Amino acid sequence: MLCRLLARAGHHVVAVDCDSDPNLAANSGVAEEQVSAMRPLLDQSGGHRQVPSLRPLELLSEYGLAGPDGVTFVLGARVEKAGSG
Amino acid sequence: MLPETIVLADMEAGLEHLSWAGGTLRHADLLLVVANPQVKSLLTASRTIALGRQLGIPEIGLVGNRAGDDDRHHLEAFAGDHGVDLLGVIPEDEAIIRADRAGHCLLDMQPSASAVEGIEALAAVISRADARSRPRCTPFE
Repeated sequence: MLCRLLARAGHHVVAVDCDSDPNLAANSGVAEEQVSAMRPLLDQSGGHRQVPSLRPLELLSEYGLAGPDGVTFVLGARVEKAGSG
Repeated sequence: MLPETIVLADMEAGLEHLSWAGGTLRHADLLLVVANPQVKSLLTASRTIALGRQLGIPEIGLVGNRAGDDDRHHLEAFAGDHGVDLLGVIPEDEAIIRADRAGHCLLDMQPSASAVEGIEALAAVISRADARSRPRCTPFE
């Protein structure tokens, strides 16, 4: 909620969920189907973890989700599989 | 350039992200330590404040969560003892649980809830702090 209220106060807000059990976007009123379509920044699909090397604005347009009150939501990582941490 | 951008990172509860993870948080301008007024939670808060200082985070503030009317004084004393400001107090509010159960954000379901008021006040404090520290911020390219 804090992210949305900061946005209402006139800031451009980027809210990054750094919890491995993420729920920031869902708790902030982003619809469930949009939440589940979010791609985490940390790519754990390959042998080792990778973070995309993009400039900040490219990264936001690629990974950011436009949420309520104009907040851009970004998902850091999501635990996909047991024993991978 | 987006000079008024605030990046808010919601961290995992606990201390791991402060101890390892390459100390990612050292780049933060402000660390909000959210704690319940109970002893166990405040012990975690005091460890978090110490780790935040070790990382060199320039500003650390305490946010009381799920607090009753009599807790404010206690939280202020705790903040004072640890050399940080109490930036906000969010009251215990049944409405949060109701919104959670219904799968809605409290801000949409019951914007007049007392918890929303508490978070609004916190947002105003952060907004003012951001205005003060603006020259320090590096705008995005």
